[in-house]
Amino acid sequence: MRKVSRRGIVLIISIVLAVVMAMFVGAALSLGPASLAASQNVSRQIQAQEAAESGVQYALSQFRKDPSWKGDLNATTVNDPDLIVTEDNGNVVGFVRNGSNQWARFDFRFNYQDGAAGPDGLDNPATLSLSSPYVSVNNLQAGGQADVPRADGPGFSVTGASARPYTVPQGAVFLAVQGRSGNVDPANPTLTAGSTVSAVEAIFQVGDLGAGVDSAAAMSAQNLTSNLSNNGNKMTVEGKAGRVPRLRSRGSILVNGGSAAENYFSDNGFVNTGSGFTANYDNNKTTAQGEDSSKPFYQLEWDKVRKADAAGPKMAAGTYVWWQDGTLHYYDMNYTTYVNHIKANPTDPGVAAVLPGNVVTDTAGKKVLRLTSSVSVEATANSQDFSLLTRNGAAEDPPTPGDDPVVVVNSVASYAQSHCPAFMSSFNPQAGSLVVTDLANNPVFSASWSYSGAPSPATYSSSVSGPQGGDLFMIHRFLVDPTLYPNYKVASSSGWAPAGVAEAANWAQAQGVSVNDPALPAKGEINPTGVTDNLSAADLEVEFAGGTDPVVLSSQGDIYLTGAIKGTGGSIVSEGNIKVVGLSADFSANEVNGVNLYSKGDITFSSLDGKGSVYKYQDVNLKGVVYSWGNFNAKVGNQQINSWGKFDLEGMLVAYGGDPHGLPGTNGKGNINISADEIKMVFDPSFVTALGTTLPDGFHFKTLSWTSQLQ
Amino acid sequence: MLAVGLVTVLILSLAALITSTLRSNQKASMLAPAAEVAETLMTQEMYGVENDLPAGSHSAFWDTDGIWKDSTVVGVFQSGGVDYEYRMQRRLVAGLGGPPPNRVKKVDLSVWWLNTRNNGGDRQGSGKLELHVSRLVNEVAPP
Repeated sequence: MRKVSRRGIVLIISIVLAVVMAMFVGAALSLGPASLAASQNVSRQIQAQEAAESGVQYALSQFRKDPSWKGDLNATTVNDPDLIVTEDNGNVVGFVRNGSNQWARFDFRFNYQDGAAGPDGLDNPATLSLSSPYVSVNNLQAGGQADVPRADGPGFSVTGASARPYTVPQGAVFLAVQGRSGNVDPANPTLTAGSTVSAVEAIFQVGDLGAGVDSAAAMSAQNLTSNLSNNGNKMTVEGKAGRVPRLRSRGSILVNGGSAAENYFSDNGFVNTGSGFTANYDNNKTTAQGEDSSKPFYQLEWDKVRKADAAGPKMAAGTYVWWQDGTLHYYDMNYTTYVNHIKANPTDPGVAAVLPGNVVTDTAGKKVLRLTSSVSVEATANSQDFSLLTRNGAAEDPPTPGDDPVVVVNSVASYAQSHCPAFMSSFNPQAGSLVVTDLANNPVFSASWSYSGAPSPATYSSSVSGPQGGDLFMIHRFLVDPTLYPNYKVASSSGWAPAGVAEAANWAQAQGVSVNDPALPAKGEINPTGVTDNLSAADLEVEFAGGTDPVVLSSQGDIYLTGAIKGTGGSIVSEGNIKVVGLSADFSANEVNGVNLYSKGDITFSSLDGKGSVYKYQDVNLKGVVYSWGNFNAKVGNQQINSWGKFDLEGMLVAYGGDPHGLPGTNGKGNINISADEIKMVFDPSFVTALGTTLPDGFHFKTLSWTSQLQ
Repeated sequence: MLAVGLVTVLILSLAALITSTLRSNQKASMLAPAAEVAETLMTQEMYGVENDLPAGSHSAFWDTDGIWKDSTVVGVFQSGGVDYEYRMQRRLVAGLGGPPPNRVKKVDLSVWWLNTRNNGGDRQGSGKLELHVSRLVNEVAPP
């Protein structure tokens, strides 16, 4: 056996070791840079994420100052040593330097980069075009949802054919922000290649009403009273998307009528009152507690309310009257003056209404007054109010005993007895009776009355009975004009004649007693003598048609509208009172009045629809903010005529009772009165962005969605 | 003899190289947790400020600038059995936001391995672990 050479063994071992070492050296050389790259990458990732987050925070801070902001300040808005932000026609680029002197950047765009005439309302950026398909959308002040497009057209533009993968809700903003780290240079803002990119897509919505304000669906500086029908329904209060359902009143909250078992329902809700909550409710679901008077109401001050640009389109103040032939007539006078004038001059056509270019009429179906952008009402020498109505006017209320001393036998006598004894002495007859039946001689009602004694002291007695004896409205109507009820007849009577009632009313009026003309049974109706015109509130409509842009109708005086209000994002702003009669008069149950209302005076709705002698209340579905310095009254039902609609408000209702610069209730007002079959109120603060020029101090943006990813 | 000496030198060099590589890998593997630490610190601190936890945090943060939290004062941050030191500073951004409660601040956070701040995060033989991030925050941030 041959002996192995030692040198050979050493050589072999050396070769093996050399090979192994070469492998290790190779591995180390390859792992070293990889590790370094990995560590750099992790560092860049988090810096890119934080840069994207900073972009979101920058945008939110700008929205706080101006809810209409969309990156269009066209300036370097921040120029600090370690923070530089530039806005260029809707494109925003920011640079953030960290503690190790490294720059990261964020960028986002509202600009469609589709030229000046595109739907974004922005010209192309002068220098900061962004090669990103992600587009942000500010929908804070719109009344409806908006599409979120992708910039997938030429040059990263948005075209009509671009994909629209998302929608953003009304009163919300969609932000798509990209953060970049590595290869970032503030001196070269167009440089985006070679960076680590992190993207954030998020939707934010106004979450509350500001610091210190306990949000609520309704806030009343005095009392909140709900009068429900006797149909067994209830008042319901909710908070949208998890917000606290709450009512607040510095006085009392009272729910009348409705279900005897439960006429108020608010799951996990609160009712805050200064002097008590009276309703049938489950205290396991609803907590009644005291109202802390040190806690503010939502303060929306006049100078922060969005109004029409005074230098923009204008309409002359006065009364605008739709005629049945589709013409719109103008009278340079306030509503009350017009009513008196037209009664004396029933056929006066006034003059043809002159409208600005952004206000058009449409008579193809209903008589529509369409506002395509904001318009202000300009006072004239004779008028500062704005009224829109039909020739016959519109019934705000059905005739009720409280409005008219001659409505029912017993009430007129009682009224006269207490207010004008001399009237009683002339009431002819001072005693009488009336029996009314249907044509088949079935009793309808019987009434009798008697009066004795000198005007003072006097004694009086009366009675009304029969199957319809409780229907005072019908009885009143019958007394005024029995021909309104062709199926009824007077079976017997003594000392009664319709003319006698009218005479009594005329006499009372001459004595200075405020009474309605018995021939005008409903408040608000005009019915000029000799005029045949069948238009009613159900035939009229005011439409806010600004698309995603808010449209405001603002006036220094009262605003009185007849008919339905349609559209989204509309606002009616008045330094006087606001009254809408016939609201929803011809809406189906699922249609919505999308409108925000702000008044320095009272706000009154009536959904009464009157045609001839038939009166009926319609449902009211309202989306928006209703803010009054005075009282709020919603007339959506009436016990006298036993007609009821439903009242549904999604947004917020405030009866501040004074100037919101001060404390609530300083003017002695601030009552909320709602009469309806059932009432539903849903708190949603997102509408405040449509009404105000700023957002509430200290409010939260509620994050509706948030997606973050590395790219 | 020469061969044996050469082999010994080579083996020692190889050991040093492997050690260096392992430490480099360790640093890379620890940087990801460090990034999470930075995220956690930022989120935790801003949550406390926004919700005034503990009481007084909100005004303390917003009413002055400078160092907000420093681990030399409040203690190190431990995560995954590793100790980190850190420092968070804030500065009001002029020209952005508005008066209270609409102010905006820039927050700078730096994270190091424990006891390496003075060396710029450099741990002997392990290289630097120094993470710096910056963020803008609104006085009333999204909840």
